[in-house]
Amino acid sequence: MLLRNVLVASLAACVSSPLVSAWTFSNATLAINERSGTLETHQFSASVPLADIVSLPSSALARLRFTVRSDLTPDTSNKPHQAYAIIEDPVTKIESSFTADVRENGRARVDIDYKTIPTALLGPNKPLTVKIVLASFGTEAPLKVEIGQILPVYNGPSPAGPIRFGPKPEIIHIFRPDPKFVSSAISLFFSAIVVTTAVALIGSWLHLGAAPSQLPKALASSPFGHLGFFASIIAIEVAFFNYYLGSTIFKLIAQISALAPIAFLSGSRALREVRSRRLKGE
Amino acid sequence: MAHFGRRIMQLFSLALVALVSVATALSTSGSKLLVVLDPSIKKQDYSIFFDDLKGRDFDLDFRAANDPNLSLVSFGERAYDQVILTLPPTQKALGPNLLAKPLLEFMTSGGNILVLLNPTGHALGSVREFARELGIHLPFRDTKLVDHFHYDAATSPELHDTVILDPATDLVAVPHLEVDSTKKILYSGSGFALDNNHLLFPILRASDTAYVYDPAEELLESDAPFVSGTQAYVVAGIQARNNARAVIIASSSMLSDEAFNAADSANRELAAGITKWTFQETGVIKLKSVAHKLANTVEENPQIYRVKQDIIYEAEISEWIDDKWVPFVADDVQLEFTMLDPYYRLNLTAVGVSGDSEVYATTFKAPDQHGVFTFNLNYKRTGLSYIDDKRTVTLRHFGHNEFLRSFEIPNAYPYITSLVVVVVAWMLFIVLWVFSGPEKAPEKKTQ
Repeated sequence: MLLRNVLVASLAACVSSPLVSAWTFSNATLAINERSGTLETHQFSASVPLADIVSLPSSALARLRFTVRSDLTPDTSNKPHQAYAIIEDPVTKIESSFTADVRENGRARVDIDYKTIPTALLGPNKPLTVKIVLASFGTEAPLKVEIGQILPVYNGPSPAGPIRFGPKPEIIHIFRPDPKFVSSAISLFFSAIVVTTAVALIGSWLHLGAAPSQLPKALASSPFGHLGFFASIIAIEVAFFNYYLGSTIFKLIAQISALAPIAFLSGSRALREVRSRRLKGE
Repeated sequence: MAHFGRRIMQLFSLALVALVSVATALSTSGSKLLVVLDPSIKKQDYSIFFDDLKGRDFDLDFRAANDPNLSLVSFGERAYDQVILTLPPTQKALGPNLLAKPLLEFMTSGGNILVLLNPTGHALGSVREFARELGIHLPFRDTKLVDHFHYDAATSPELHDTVILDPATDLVAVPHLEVDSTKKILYSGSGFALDNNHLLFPILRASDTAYVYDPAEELLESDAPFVSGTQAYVVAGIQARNNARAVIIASSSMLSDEAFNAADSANRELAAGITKWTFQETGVIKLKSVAHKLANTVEENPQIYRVKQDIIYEAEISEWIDDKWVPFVADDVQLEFTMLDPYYRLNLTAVGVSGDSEVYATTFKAPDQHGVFTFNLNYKRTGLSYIDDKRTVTLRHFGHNEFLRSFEIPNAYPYITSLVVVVVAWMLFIVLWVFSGPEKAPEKKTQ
């Protein structure tokens, strides 16, 4: 381990020069290559980035070529320890690095293959910032420069993000619609028709001459029969009405069982009286 | 005599309770701390770190890994509440008590573990396996994290392996650590990679130009870094589903007196923050009580509700700050009302303080679907202890006497009117039929 450190240190020492020097690159191009050949080539430099966003089809790779040189040092040492192309999503700041293949003479090549771009960086219309990092041990100033943006062409739905803890969207239950009611006016109109019909019917009875003309005579001959009969019928109607309003079935049974014998006894007497009158032809 | 004996026992237990309550003054999970210290690591090099822990009422028990009496478990119970594990610089086994399985079982029973990897990046197979179970992938031995952009020129002018991390950009778990962002964090060691796992709690990562390289394989150029840029982490933890915590620090040198005493160093604050989180002193919340009831009633937690009734739900949450429980304030506490799927997911609003807890409440109308529903308070946030509370209730449908009456429904007016008209007309008909007759006796018939 110690030996290794000494080795690295001596290497760094021979790389560094007493003058202040810096890593840089020149002759840089970005080519979009497909199996069929090169689609397009763009020039850039450390100070002049790519003008436009370069689109990268899913079957292609972006090949960066440049010549690394360290200012004021001999050509033989033009090989930095760190020569990376970094692609970064400017929104999420997630990044991925691709190592450059640097030759002794400083010629470097990085392939950013669409297939090797992590899925976290892919998405519809998601341009990625490309940076070149050149740095090494020693005192030479490192270089990190943004050279432009590439846009991996992504068709399809947005990939689902990773599972993370956090608040979820609110859910509010949607109730089934309430039953709809007709307006009271229409309902009352039809009720009025019903009432009118009844009035017309009763009116026609009266028009035909129906009248309780025998009332005094009937009451005189069978007072218990008629009064009891009508009173019990009305009482039974009242009992049913109470049940409709909310009384219990047991109360109703009790009331009806009390009223039914009265209605039966008084009713039979009343009807007997009616029969006697009818037989007399009245 | 027996009475006297009982009194003595009472006094004794009182004293014991007092002792225990003093001893557990700062950590919510206990003060018994085992430090597995490798002989290669000198305790005096880390004196400030250990003194800080003692100052926080921890009861430190230093043991070597090969101590025959060392055991994380005694009589089936956890023997310690917390463990700090340091690793040797070279290949050496830690013994059967510190294999991955006992360490994981220790966490399963609620213990917290802080692992300090050796600065050489050497991790034993057992620790590597333990870390992999947590979703942390440790680097190969002798690898180094270097950053040619942010390094300490005084200690590593050539090798750039003492890197400077900026708390403002590299600290991920900012809300749970109090670190002055104008200071710097000194670090030398390796870096590890993390799984994409939501239980993980990343704390400190490397800067975007850093990378891990292996001096043996990549002496001249870094052609296949183990991990690079902000994907390289140097401190990360995990909170298991039972709220037990484990943190791995990629290099123990970060906690040395040398690093603490360096000019402008934030390492000491960071170490305090990391150990406080690991040993359940910060980021600890608890659910104090839950109550649900019908609106405008007093009876709490009934077993049954009816559909479309207004329900009030209240939960009280406290947070452990320093040495006491205080109200926990947040704006993202959510309640789910579920039957298989959530019918409601509602943000709870903080409605006030009750003693040492904050009251979160909401009111909602029970859905128009009868069945067995669950009030599910599932509050899980990275860095905070998990709260997961489920209360099951029945939601019944309308009773036969709970619907609208027919006279309240306009559509029914014609029917009700018809009924009344029939009754009245029938009564009238009976009267007419019974009492009607010719005005005079039908004498004309005899003609």
